[in-house]
Amino acid sequence: MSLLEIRNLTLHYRTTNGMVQAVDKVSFSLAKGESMGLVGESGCGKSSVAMSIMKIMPPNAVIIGGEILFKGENILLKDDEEIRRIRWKEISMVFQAAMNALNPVVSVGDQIVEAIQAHDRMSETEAWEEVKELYRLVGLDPGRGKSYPHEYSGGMKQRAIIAMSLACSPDLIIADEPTTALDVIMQDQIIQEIVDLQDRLDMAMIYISHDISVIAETCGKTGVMYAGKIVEYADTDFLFYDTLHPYTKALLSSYPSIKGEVKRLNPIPGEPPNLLDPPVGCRFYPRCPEREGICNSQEPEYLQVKEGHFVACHLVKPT
Amino acid sequence: MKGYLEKERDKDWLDDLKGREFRTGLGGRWDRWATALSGHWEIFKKNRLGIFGLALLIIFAAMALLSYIPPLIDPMYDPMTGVDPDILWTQGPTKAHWLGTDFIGRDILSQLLVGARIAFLVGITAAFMAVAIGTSVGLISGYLGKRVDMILMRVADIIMVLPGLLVILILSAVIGKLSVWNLVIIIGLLRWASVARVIRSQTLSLRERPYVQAAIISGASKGRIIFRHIGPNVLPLSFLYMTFGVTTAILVEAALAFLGFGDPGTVSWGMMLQWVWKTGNMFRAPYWLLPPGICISLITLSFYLIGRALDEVVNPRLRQR
Amino acid sequence: MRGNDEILVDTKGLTKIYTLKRNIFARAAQFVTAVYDVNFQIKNGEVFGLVGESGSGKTTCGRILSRLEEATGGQIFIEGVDISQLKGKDLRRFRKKVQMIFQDPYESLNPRRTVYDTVVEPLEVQGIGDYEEREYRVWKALKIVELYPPGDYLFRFPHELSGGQRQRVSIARALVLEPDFVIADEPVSMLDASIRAGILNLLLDLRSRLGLTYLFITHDVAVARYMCDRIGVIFKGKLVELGRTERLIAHPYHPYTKALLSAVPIPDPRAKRERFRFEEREVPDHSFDKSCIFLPRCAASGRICRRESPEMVEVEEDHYAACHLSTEM
Repeated sequence: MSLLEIRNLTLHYRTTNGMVQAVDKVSFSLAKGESMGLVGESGCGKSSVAMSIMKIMPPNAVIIGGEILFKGENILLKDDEEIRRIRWKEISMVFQAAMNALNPVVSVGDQIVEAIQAHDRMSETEAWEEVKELYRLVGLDPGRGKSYPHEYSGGMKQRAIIAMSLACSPDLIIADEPTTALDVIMQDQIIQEIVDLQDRLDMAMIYISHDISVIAETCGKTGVMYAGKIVEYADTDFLFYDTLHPYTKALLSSYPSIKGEVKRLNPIPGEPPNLLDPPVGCRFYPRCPEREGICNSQEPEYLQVKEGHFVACHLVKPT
Repeated sequence: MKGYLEKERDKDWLDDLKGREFRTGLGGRWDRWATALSGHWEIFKKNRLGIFGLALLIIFAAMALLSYIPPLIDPMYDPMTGVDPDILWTQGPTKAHWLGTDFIGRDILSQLLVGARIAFLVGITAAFMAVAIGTSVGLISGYLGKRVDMILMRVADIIMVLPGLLVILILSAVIGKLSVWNLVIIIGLLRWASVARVIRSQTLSLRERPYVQAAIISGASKGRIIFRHIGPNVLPLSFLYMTFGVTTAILVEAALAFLGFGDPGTVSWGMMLQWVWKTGNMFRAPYWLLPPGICISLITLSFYLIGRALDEVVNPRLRQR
Repeated sequence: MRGNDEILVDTKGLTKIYTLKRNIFARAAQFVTAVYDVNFQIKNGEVFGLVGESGSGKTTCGRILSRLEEATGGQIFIEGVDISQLKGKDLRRFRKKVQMIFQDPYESLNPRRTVYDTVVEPLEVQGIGDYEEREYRVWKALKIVELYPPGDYLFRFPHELSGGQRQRVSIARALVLEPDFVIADEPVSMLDASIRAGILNLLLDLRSRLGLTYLFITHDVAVARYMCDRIGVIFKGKLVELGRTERLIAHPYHPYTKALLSAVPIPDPRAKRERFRFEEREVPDHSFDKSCIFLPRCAASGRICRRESPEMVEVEEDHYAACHLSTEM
């Protein structure tokens, strides 16, 4: 049984201008210990999917349909108390610029202890021991637990946040752009650590980013989102070397690399569709270089076209 | 390479702009302001309390305009000098006097209407002065920085520390009775400092915005940047402060009048309250006591609500989703 | 006409030190050195990249070159003129030659002004042309940045435009005075990948068509590789390596460059990279003349690194590095 299975998740946001159809029939599954990347550009819905799994959506979000099965049980049907018990203990999350979420007047160690004690029955001494262990795990000096956030560098704060998210040994960790605010070298170190931890603790991981390079290096599977839908989902290697969806192809050719030949980048002309009133057919139709008539009138189905490789495109038929 | 905006006119240019609704130049500018303002109005409209405040304001404005009428109908309705020959004391509402008369037979309604006029004049003028001075000082101080900033802010600090009401009382004791216009000036001169502080900090943050830096890089002078770039972005805040300033000015005027330091030659709501109190009619003549008190409360409320609604226009983050 | 090998921009000893506000109780003022003794040259028609992390001083260099800030020391020659001394009318004339594009497309445009207002402003400020001439120039600038037809965009407000479109408007504003030298400060970092490519390609096309020269400031090495002919790597205010892009990336000399390059993720699941070791030592206050700026982080330092600050040395043709140990022959 997979650890996490999402079936046809559909989420809309209520705004003064109408309903924004932010996530539409998203499905994927994740086994224990597996790592999956969710990549897409701004507004594609990846963060919304992540927030739904932890049920921390903003108040104007409405789940229109679908199921999120975690260990076989539908999270969407659980009440607040049940979710609270799952959060942090079984599923935890590292946000973008989470380091800014640290309370500046409480020592970092105390904040982690607070998180631990909220979920596990532990005395304060035991919790502090745990903090030291976690610090060692993420590469922080265990003696610095009593320092305040402003005494930590950006990279250190982010590591502390990661330590906090690991405090209760969750089965699944969701990392939403965990390194955006850091510089390249720090980013690399943190990512290495996350992957290492994930491996050592046998945690499943969903890594969300707009940077496909990072996902290429860290995740076993990758899902590409566009305008609220998953357009392609496969083992990372296959996604890059046997790319099937036109959007994925276009996206891959718009990232420069420091290795290999310098190729002319191909931008994708146009803009993503307005999700207040999405088009009838394929949402990528207006910008697709390979489009055909049917793409405009009918939404493509999300199908498994090869072993473990899912695509939503009329032009790609199952073999 | 020079001349890449070629000397030879691109033929498309005129074709492209021919069918367009509005163009560059002054006419175009008014059009664009109109569009921007109508956008603001849309946002303002959504705030129900703001609309309520605006409605109240319109009523008071109407009152102020109507205040010219009663004396024209009959000289006995003149708020200061109009004396009803039949009535020489305070009396409740009658057909001739809808709100009754004061202690020497003057019509209360006329007084109320004139009071609205005074409230508007004093409130708005004093607030406008304070905000005009405060905004200018804040802009200059914030943008020029260094010594100018230091000097201006020290002055502002000193003024902020002065106990306003006390200063006015002392001044009136020294100068003698203050006319309404003296009052307006004094309020203006005492209240600009807090506005200046806020505008200054807003200026400091706006100064670092890339579009301001881009203007500097194009060679724009300091004056141009202050008035064309930072100013307009700071004005909404100024308007906001003006609405709050109006409430304070009205209350200050009313307080002074009530305490007996007002201009005896003008009839304001505060003055009316002073007369009720002084003539010992406070508990005996509710028709005389209540109207001015309620008006003062309502007009300050209306400005405050408008100010809050304007806040949503100014600050997009406050808007309802 | 300028030849293509002529040097357009030449900085000598560019230094910027900020004095933090002194309060009455501090014994001495505190200083922050943003940029120290930076020397580089940009040839006519070249795209020169300044690569470094946040806080490295790269943005400060850009701001000094555009005279948004004054250098504390050093000289900056553009077309042979020391621009750090310019004042008044000369400064205004200089402004026609050097323009800048900023990082944040949302803050680069005054939200209360239309596209037309924004792009025409430099012309108004410099007193160029009459209103018809200006209208034409704005129109043409928008066409050049591929906002077509320009009439559709002239009277829109920034909030009606996407990030990529806003950035194009910024570029149009920079071009309307027909500058020779454009400083691009992280022009694509806040844009989505697919939009980024469009802006980068636009900038490259404009360089060829209009004969522009760029200073391209970025923290993204992959983007720098795509855009730049030559790259300068800057660390905490000092230039540590300088050279032609392909050579620098293929064969870096300075340990920081090596570490930086090895930390860049590659969009290829099969690519392997060797990561460079990095230390995090605490070192007492650094003096720019006394020791190497990279000492606290260097895994391969020697005794000389503590005593002497390394000079930029030519290690290969048109390739310089400032490191005692790596440049030993």
